[in-house]
Amino acid sequence: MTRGGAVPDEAGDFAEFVGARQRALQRTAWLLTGDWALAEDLVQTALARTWPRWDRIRRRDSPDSYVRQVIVNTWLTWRRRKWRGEQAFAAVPDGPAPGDHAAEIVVRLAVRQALETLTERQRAVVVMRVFDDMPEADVARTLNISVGTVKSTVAQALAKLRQDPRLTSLMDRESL
Amino acid sequence: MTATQDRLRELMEIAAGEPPRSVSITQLRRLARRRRTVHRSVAAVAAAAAMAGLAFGVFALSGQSTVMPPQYGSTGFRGPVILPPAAGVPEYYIQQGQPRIARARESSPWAQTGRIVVRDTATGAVTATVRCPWAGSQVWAIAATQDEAFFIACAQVSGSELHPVVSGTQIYRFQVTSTGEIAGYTAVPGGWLPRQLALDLTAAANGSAIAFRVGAHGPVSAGARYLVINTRTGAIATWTSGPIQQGGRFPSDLSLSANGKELTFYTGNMTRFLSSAQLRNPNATWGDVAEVGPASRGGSLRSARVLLPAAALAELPREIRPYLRVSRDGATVTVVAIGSIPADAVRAHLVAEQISVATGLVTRVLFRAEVGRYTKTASGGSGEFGGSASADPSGRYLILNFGPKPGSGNGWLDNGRLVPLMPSSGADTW
Repeated sequence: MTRGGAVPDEAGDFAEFVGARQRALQRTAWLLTGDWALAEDLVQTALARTWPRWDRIRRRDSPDSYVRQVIVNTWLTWRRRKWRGEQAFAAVPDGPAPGDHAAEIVVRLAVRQALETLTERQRAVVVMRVFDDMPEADVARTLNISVGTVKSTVAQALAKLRQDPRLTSLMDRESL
Repeated sequence: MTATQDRLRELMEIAAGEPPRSVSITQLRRLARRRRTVHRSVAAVAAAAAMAGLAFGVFALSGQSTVMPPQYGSTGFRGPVILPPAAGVPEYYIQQGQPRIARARESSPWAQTGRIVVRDTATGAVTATVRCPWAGSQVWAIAATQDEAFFIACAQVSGSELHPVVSGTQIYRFQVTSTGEIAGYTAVPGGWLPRQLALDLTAAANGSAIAFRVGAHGPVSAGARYLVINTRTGAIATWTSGPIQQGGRFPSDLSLSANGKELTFYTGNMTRFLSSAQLRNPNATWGDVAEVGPASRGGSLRSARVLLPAAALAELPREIRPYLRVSRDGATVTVVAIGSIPADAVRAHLVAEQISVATGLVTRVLFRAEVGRYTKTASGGSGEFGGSASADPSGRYLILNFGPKPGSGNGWLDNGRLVPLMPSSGADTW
C-alpha cells in the first residue's frame, strides 16, 4: 500500500471484491439512474473512489455497504449538477435479448417510470431499503438523516408508487 | 419488510435484470490513477480547465460547434439548419414531385402523385425522371437499397379512388449511375402480381430481398398477405396475418433486415378501427414490434417473436409510425413516429429514436421536432401535417420528410443533425 491515497500495486483483494459484487452494484445503480451506461459510470466512479482507501474499508464489517453508500452519494451529487455527463453514443452497449423478453421489458419500463416519479431522497431510500435490504440505521447514516425520516420517506415513496397504475397492476398480479 | 415491499423488490429484481457489461478492473485502475493525479495537481487542473475553456471558445467561434436539430415551436417555423452533406452521403436521391399532405402511408389511397425525379444531393438539380416502363402504369411504391439502387412497384389501375380496378403490378429494379441517370429498368423475378397492388414496399439494404403487403388499400378483416421475394431467384415466401377483427392488430410498417433474412413489422391497432373512447385509452392503440425469420420461410405472422412490446413505444407519438428498422447487429430498432405524444395532445411531433431490443429503453434520440398542430377526431386523427421516413440509397442514413405546416422539410439524419435536402418541400424522398 502506498501512501497518500495512491493506488495499491497489489489489488488482489479489491479485484476479488469487484468481481464478486460488481453485478449487484450495477443493478442498484441502474435502479437509481434508469440507464445502464450511467449505472456503469456510477459504479466505476464509486469503486475508483473506494480503491485508494480499500485497506481501511475492508476492515469494516461491510465493505459492500460502504461502497453502496458511495454509489448513492455520488448519484445524489450527479443529480445536483446541471450537466450530468450524459452523452449520445453511436454503439449500443447491450446486445439482443434471448428468447421472449416482452414481459421483462414491461416490468422494466414500469419500474423505471414509477421510480422517476419519486424525489431523489425517496428513490435513494427505496433502492437502499427495499432493493438492497439495508438496515434503516445504515440508510439513515448514508443520507445523513434520522431513522424516523427513513421510515416516513419509505412510507411516502410507497404511497406515491401505488398511484402509478402500471406498477400497481404489476404488483397486484400473482405472477408475471 | 411488508408484503408490498416484498412484491416491489421482486419487480425491481426483474427490472434491474442483468448488466450488459462487467466493470473492468483495468478501467478502474485507470480511473483511480486519474483521480489521484487530479487530486495532487490542482494547479495543473486549473490550467487545463483554462485551456479547455479557450479551446471551446475557439471551437464555438469557428462555427463548428454543435448544431441542434431545427425546432418548430409555437413561435413559428424556423428553417432547417444548413449543414454540408455528411461524408459518404449518396450523390443522388429520389424525390416525389408533389409534396405529401397530411397522410400516412397506410391511409394514402392513391398512387404516388406528381413527377418522380432523381436529384443531385449537393445541388438539388434534377438529373433524371423515374418512369414506369410498363405503359399505362404508375409508381405505387418505392424502396431504396444501398449503392443507389431502387425498387419501384408499377401498377396499372383504373376506376375510382374508392373502387380501383387493378390490372396488375410489376416490380422493377433500377440503378442510378454516377452521373445521376437511370441505367435501365429490370423486372424483378417473381415481381409480377396479377390484379393486385404491392403496398408498404420495403427492401433489404443489400437488395437481396423485397417485402410488401399484397392487396387492396387499408386493413381487411379476412386478413392480409405479405410476400417476401428473393430478388435474384424470384423465390416467393408468403406470410399471412390471419383474420383481423374489429380493433384487432394489423401488421404494417414492414422492414427487412440488412441481409434480408428477418422481416420486422408493427402490430398496432389501426387508429381508423378505433372508437373515440378507445383512442383516449393509450393501451388500445399501442402495439408490439415483432419479427419473423427466416423471412424466406413464410407462414403465419402470429408466430412472430416480439422484439419490442407496446410499452417500449408508449412515449412515442402514436398516430403514424412510418418507419421501423432493425440495426445490423439486431441490438436496436429505429422507430420514427408522428402525432401527438402523451405529454402534448395539441401539437404533432416527429420523433426518431433508437430503442434497445434487450431493454426496451431508448438508447438514442435521433431527432425530435414539432411538425404541426393536431386535431383529434372520432375517426382517428387529422391535422395539417404529415411525414414519412425512409432509408437512404446508401443504407447508412435515415431520411425524414415532413410538412407542410408550420414548415416542411426533408433531410438526412447525421448524428442528431438534420442535413437538409434541396429542395426541402416535405415531399417523400428516398
